[in-house]
Amino acid sequence: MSGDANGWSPELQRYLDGEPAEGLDARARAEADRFRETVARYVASVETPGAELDEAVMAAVRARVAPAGPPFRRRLLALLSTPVRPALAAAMIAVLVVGVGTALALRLGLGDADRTSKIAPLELTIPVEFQLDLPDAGTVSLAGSFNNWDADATPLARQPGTGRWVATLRLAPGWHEYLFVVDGIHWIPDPTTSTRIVSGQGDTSSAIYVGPP
Amino acid sequence: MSEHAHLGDGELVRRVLDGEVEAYRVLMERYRPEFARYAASLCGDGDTAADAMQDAFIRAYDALAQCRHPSRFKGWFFRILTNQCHNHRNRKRAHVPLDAIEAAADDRTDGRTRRSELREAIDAALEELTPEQREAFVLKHVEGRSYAEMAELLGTGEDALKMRVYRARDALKELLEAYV
Repeated sequence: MSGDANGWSPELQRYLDGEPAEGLDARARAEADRFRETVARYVASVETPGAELDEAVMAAVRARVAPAGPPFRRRLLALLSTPVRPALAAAMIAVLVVGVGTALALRLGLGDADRTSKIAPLELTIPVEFQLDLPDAGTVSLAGSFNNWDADATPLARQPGTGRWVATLRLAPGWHEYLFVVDGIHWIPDPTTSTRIVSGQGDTSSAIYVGPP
Repeated sequence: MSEHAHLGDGELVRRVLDGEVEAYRVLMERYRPEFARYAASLCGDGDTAADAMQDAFIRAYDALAQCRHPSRFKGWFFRILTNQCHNHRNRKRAHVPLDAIEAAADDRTDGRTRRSELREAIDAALEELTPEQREAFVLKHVEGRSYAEMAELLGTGEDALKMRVYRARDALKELLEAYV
């Protein structure tokens, strides 16, 4: 037998994994071989991105200042030219005030040693709460520049009895891009903010600025 | 060939972070060919894969300081690329509904058409798998990787990956019955 109505037999699965065909009859083996050939024909037909991609990426990264942080002045100008809701503006100012105060306190505490040291700087992070009102969602997570756009890394918790999803993250000062991931497949910007960043490919992300650069 | 081609990933990442932007090209020339077929199979077509790869490389560059183990850049980048591929594939699916299996099974004329139909049929069949099954199947059958390599890339145990590949094959066996 080559398998059953539900799929391949365990012996054929092992054969398809590349193990010897011991105990398999010729018909079963032929069916598995046809499956492999079908996939091989598919592989041969797949067009892959070529070296021209490298040039496009290098042009994009050369236009950036450094990988460690976004070009602050450019992003600040973009923010200032973007309409922001009063509530969001107030929240951002609050985050800025907390951030500046914390940074000053830390700097005062560090003394002269920090000015000459090249050891990695103290990691300052600031709590930021993300919320999404979406009663029909089964799961909501956050993917962004702070978690390498990993849709599984930062799940939001549903507040009992409401349709509100919440997560609080400690983020480093600076700009962060993000999207909410609903039910694992729908990537949506934050509806509570109009601050957006559009990539060279036309993809739009929400953006938030936390504390001082 | 670049003067940096002999350097390891960790050293290249450190050089990029020190401001040597051109060192990033070496990382790209190393991993674009290695993962191009994976991206194309995961995305369903070359154009979408190019967008996903470009996005992934730029996002990886922007987040390079967050790569905690520079010598493991490959696995770190692979996760970013995989997420971008799923993201771009979902966006494409949202705009272009696919019922390619039925369409492809209908009318076969010459070899070229048949090849194209087969590709559409497998793309559509891959669409039916879960993202995890799709990743595992593509790595195993399109990339020809061992379970040990897959486990290292995906950070998942070999037994779990075998199960994903087995389930993917079972689903594809049924979906591609007309072709096998």
